[in-house]
Amino acid sequence: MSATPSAGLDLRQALNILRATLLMRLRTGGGTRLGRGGKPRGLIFLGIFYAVMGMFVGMLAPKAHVDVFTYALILFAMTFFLGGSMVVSESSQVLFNPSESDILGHRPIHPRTLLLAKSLSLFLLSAGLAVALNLAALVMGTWIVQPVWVFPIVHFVVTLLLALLASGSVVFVYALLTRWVGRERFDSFISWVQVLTTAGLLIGYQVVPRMIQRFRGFRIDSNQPWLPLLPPAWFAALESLMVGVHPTPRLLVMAGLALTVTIGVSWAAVARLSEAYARTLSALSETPATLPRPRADVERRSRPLNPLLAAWLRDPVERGVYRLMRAYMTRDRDVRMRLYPSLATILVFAILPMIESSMNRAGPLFALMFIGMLTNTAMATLKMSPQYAAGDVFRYAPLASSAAIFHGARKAVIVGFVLPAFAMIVPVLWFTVRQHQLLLTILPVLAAMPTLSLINGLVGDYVPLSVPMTIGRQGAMNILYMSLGALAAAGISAVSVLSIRMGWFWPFLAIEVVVLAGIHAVLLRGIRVRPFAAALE
Amino acid sequence: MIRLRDLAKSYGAQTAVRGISLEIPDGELVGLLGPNGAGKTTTIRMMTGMLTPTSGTAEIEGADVVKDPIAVKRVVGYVPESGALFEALTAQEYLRFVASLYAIPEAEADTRIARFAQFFELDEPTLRKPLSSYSKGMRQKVVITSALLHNPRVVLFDEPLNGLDANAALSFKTLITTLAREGKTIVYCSHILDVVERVCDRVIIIHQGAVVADGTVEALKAQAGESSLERVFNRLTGTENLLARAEEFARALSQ
Repeated sequence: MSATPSAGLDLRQALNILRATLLMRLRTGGGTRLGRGGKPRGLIFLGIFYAVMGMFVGMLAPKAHVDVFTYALILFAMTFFLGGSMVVSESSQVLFNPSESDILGHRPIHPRTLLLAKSLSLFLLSAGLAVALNLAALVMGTWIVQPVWVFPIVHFVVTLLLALLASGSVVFVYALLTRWVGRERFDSFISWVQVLTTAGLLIGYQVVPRMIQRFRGFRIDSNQPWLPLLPPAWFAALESLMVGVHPTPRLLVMAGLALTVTIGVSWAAVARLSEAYARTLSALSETPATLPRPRADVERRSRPLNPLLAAWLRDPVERGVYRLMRAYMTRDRDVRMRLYPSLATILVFAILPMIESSMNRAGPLFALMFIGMLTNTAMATLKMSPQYAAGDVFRYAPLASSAAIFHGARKAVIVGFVLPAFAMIVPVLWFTVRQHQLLLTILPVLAAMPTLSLINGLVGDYVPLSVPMTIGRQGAMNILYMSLGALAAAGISAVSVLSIRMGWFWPFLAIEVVVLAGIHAVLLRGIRVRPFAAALE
Repeated sequence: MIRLRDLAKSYGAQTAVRGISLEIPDGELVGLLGPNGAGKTTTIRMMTGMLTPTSGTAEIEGADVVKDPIAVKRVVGYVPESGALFEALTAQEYLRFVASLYAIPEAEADTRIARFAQFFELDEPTLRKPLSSYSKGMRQKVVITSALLHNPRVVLFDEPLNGLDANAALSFKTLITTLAREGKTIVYCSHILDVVERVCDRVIIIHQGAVVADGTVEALKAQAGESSLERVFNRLTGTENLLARAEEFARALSQ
């Protein structure tokens, strides 16, 4: 950064940077080129999806006649965990975009101003999603608070404050990491932090509300000693006090935490850590003076494939794409960040039977079905890359069909992602599911997996790493595939469990395998014979 | 041989290339010049089969880019202006990957990669480091190598000297003249006029999507009555009165 250390915060400059950022996001969806990024459809879809989801939760007010604290706690827990994971997944693109250094790094912008603009951008993203989630609740909350105009105003303000905590915490943690972690390890370190945080938030989103429900029912006593450990409870306390609930010491402490932690974390991130952030941002765009030593995994992947894989990947194009995808799945920060958190959802459904006995039957089936859909979510993830321009190589290479590209990517996902996920989840299910006979349902899912993995090849040519990354697209895509997975899970679980009970599980499995083999062959042929529409219009 | 007939490309109401017709015989090294937005890259991308023309035809080595794009792509090598690479790969992995797209056997690909690496002074340990750690010039060497790996008969270079140092640029210029002597057809698209003037047999100037000049450097200079290619270019592409405009700009800054 070229700004002098004595220069202070320039609010007007920060707002100008923010305005330009928002304008770009609206025009390109967060991509860098107009036309290839398109409109922010992913973000719009996500907003609508969140609003619908919030409507179901919001119905608690008129249906269950909950008190303000319980109602607000459930809504804020959902907002914090869901909105938080979205902010975490988008934060690296917003905060650490190396190409931005060439545009802004040499301008007279104080690091504090730059970080403020970025933080505001993240805040607007989290606030937008938080408001979408709470839109219905704003109206439905009028059932439990009088006069009717109080709840919408208070809930709106507290929701914004919660969004500020979510975005402020993300900026704070990352800015802190820029102090501790050197440039060489930063890329790798930050991506694993993001993966783990997102996984933690997703697990929190599924597990915490169930634990609350299991132990306390729908009326949560705000004096529970463990509540101050949950940030959403702080905001529920603040909201309760603002709508006129009788103040108790516990409510006052939690409301105080909401205000002080939010303001403290946001201030510390921008005011105290901006210099370290600016140094790292600048360093990210630099080419290191000395090239790093080849890494062990790079050395390993340069070796010939083992005979089994070599036999499976006889086509040279398939083999080339397989190697490309495996490299991106292990080495690329953006791909890792978007790929691995989806495993958290599967893990959650596998461990749910331990927490909730009613999930003993459905939990493992959902976990397995999500594994079935894992190839599709991973394939969709691998279509996007900040280096999407390099994907043009597939367009000027002499390829008559995109089948080999698709199969190379699909096989990389199966070997490098789906099979390890399967190996991870089966032992977990063995421990958590009490009726081991239910584990037979693994087999119909296993049988469906190869056919399900062909879905991405059916809708147009599959060209990996060729689509620019846009804000919200990843989240929207995951929801779409996970919803498809949930629907399929409902169907397969019903038939599988029924067939086990009626004693015709094995004939059912045999019929399923024969039917799937037929569908598989038809799909493979369809993908193979379709000409590659490589030329752009 | 490259043959373009009334090749045009429009995006809605905007016309990027308006009816270009030309022929480039085997072994000719042609410079394609034009100001920013003249339609050079669009023309080149249509010649690779990456972009569908709105009208007209383009034939490369007898194959039509729309009717038989695969045959065209087999014989064309392309260095894109973006210089984009898959940065999570090492140079060796990237070049092997590109070789796989042209069905070059791995052993043969390794031999060719080693030969190009030697030419561009990229040693074995450097080839095994991730492209994300390469300088711009080193990346450009990998991009050029990837375009030539399959020994194409036609090579299309879009701003190939981007990021190359003086020595690498000199090596590259020597390489393309050698390739042309061996019978390869080369289209060299650039803004750097003096390089084009020194290495190209023929120069084509495009302005506002149309060919405004086509001939040897000497013929163009004679036709325009100018002493250098730069002045011919300035005259044809409407960048005259430069001094007056510069003075006006400086005055506006000081006001």
